[in-house]
Amino acid sequence: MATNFKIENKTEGEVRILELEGYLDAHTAPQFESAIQEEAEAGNLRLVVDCARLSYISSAGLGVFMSFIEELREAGGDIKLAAITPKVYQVFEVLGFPALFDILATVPEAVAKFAEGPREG
Amino acid sequence: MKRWVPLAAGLAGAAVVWTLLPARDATVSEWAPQLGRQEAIQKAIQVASAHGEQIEGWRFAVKTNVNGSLGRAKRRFQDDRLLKAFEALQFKVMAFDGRHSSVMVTISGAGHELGFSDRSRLGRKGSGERQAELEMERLVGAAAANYRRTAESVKTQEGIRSAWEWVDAERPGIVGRVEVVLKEGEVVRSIVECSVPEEMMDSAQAGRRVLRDGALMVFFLLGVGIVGLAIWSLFTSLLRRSDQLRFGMRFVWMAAMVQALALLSGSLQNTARIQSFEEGLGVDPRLPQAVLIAAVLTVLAALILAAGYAAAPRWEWKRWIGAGMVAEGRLWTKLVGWEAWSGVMAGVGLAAIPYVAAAVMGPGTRVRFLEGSNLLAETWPQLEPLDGLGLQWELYLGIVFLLPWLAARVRRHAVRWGVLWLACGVLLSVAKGPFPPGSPANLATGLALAAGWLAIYQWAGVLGLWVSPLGTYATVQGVRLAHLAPVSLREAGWEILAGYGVLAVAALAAARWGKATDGRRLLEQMEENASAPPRSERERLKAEFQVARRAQAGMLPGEDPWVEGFELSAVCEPAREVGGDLFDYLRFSDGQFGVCVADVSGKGVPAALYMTLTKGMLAAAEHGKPDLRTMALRLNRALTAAGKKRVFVTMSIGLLDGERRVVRHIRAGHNPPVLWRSGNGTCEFLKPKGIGLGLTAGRAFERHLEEQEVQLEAGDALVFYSDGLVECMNEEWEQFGEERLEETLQKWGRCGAAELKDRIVEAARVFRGKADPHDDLTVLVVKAGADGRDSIR
Repeated sequence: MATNFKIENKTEGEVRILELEGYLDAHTAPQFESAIQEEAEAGNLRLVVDCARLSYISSAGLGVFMSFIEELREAGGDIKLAAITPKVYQVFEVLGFPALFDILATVPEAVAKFAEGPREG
Repeated sequence: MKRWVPLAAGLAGAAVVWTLLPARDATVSEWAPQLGRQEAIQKAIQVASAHGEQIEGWRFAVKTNVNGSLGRAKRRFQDDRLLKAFEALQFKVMAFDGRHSSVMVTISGAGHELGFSDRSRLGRKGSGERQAELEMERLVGAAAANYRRTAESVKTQEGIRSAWEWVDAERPGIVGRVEVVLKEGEVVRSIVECSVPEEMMDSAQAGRRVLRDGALMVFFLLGVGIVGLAIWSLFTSLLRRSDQLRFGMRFVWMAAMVQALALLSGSLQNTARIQSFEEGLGVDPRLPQAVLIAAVLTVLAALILAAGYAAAPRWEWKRWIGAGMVAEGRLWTKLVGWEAWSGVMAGVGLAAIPYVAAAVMGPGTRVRFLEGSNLLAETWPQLEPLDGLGLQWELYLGIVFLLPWLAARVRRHAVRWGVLWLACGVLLSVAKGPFPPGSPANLATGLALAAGWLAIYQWAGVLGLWVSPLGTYATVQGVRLAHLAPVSLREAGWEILAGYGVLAVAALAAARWGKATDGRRLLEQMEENASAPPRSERERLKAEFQVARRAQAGMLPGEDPWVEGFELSAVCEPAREVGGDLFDYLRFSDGQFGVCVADVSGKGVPAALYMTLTKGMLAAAEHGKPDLRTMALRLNRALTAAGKKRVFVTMSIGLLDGERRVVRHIRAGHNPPVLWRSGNGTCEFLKPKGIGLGLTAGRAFERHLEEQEVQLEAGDALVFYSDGLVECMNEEWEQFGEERLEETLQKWGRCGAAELKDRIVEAARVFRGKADPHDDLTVLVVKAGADGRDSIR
């Protein structure tokens, strides 16, 4: 499995955007994890993960989302997912992620979702 | 062993050797040299001077030569005039000035000139022909009259050659020969020799020689075999233990030191130089060769010692402690001192054995034990006994390695020692047979020596055994030299005895005043080293993985179960690494039957642990009501609490109703099971809502959990599977996918559950091709049957 994986960061207002590119699996999950860790430590609690160029995600990758979500939500933040390709979306869907995360079609929509207030958990 | 035993054995042995040797030793009584090294050199200077060459101040190499067949002939034809004039022992003295000139003089044991050879360039002219005759007369003295000229001034490369012969009329075949070569009127080479053909000897002798050669060949092959075995045994045990390489390396320095001293003593130098002279070469190419051979032998000896150490079973270890301490450099200790002292003294005692055997055999039997006639010409004869430390191959192969190796494999005590005793005894009698080949005295000597060595090993350990030849050699060489006529040899003899006596006393002093050592602690240390864990971390992890995999495999149901109304078959094919797939059958207390397929996220040991937890909870659930929602909630709570949300478990559980052919089904984040309708051959993926277990402890899980019910007709197939099936990848990184699963079902749906399961697994395997499997592959087939058929394989 190719371990090509890249993360690019952007800011839009109060929201930080993490653009993922490539394969998110057991090899690259730690990279993703440190990225989220950095954001949390820097005080950026509102994150949007842009999955437009994410080709593949494995259970290790899914686990990374889970490990920070509680912490962020308790502090008033959240991780929202945007622009997931159909193939990858299937993986999220089988696992039941739509019930746990806000998954939007585009990044601006995801950013706007933060204005709606916290999710009912 | 009692304290006084070694001393008593040594003294007794020494006394016996001192008494019996003069009459029974071949060197002393048969060859009876009148010269030692110094005397031979002086004589050579005289001879060269008579030939017009001043060699005083040149460098000298001296070698002795024993013509065995001549000696035997003399014993056989004792009254023969011609044979009387010749002696079996010869000295070859080579003098070289360090540039191009070299001269070799051959002298008999009594000091008569037997030959002269000169490579220097001469200038003076003489009277030619007559010169050769004068030389001949000079060489053979009064016997000159018996010689007849056979070659008249033959021109050769060397010069002009003349030869004379003396043939014994009464014993045709025995020939004495003189040869003189002149160049420009000066003698450049002269030699007088005697030859006796083999056929004249006792014919039985020839037969015995064949026996001896054959036995030597067997000995050689056996030796090679055992060395190979030792090396193999050493390296296989290196993987398990951690210290014997160090041990072996340390032995190398000791063996190397011994070899270096032996080389220093000059014997190899002597032989090399003289052999190269005789072959007409100016340099001595054999010296580097000899050093190389000595180095190789040293390494081999160290290897075999280390192999013995590695092969030694637990109960032999106490015999290796002394040797181990020497390897560590701890010489001044009671243990080392005692073992060394006992070994040396016992070795002295053993020296008596060949002489006692000779005495028992009757008059005329001579011991040619420790042949070393070259001892007479050594630069430093005192160093000769050290050879015994480095080159006692029977000792190394037989006892140091073979005994520990045998001991580990042969249970019966008596058998082990018996086999070894016989083997060593036979080997010794062939290799060190001091008597003519085929003589029974050889075997008796060999067996007695072997018994002695085994006793030393038993009571003085490997160290005692290793140094015992030192005692043997020093005693024999010392006493031998001390009994000879020439002053230089007598002195050398006493020096040997004194020198090694001092070493023995030093060992005794160490035994008395050395550092006390805790034998028990040393044994413990040996035990620690023996059970050191395998070196490679990777191997340890591999072992752990194997344990985990076996445990996992043990948790899965082994057989397809019998359920009324349905046919079931399932399999889990593990991927290379330890995985986290699980399938299970649940028999509820009220008789209902459930199936379950689960997949733990992640890989490796953590995933396997969560699989265990899941399995445990499922087993617990069997005691409760078969309520799928309750089960799922309980599982979710337990897994959320246990994991840190990084590990989650996806699961599909089905509850089977055999009467109505109904399946109730919950899908907690798992791959949707596929339903194949036998009626129209269509496939449907069942996707009730459900979140994976362990992801969230909140209400979300409960709210998003849907229970679905499906009605099956006879022949319908409901296939549960894990993502290892649909995500199975081939070499082009393509996935098997749901489409191919549908195709497989449409093709094989009519088969029974077991066959359908096999077909699905095979389709995945064929699709995968040569690519490695990434994940565990689980397939569980539920077929609504006409009746519940037992499909145990």
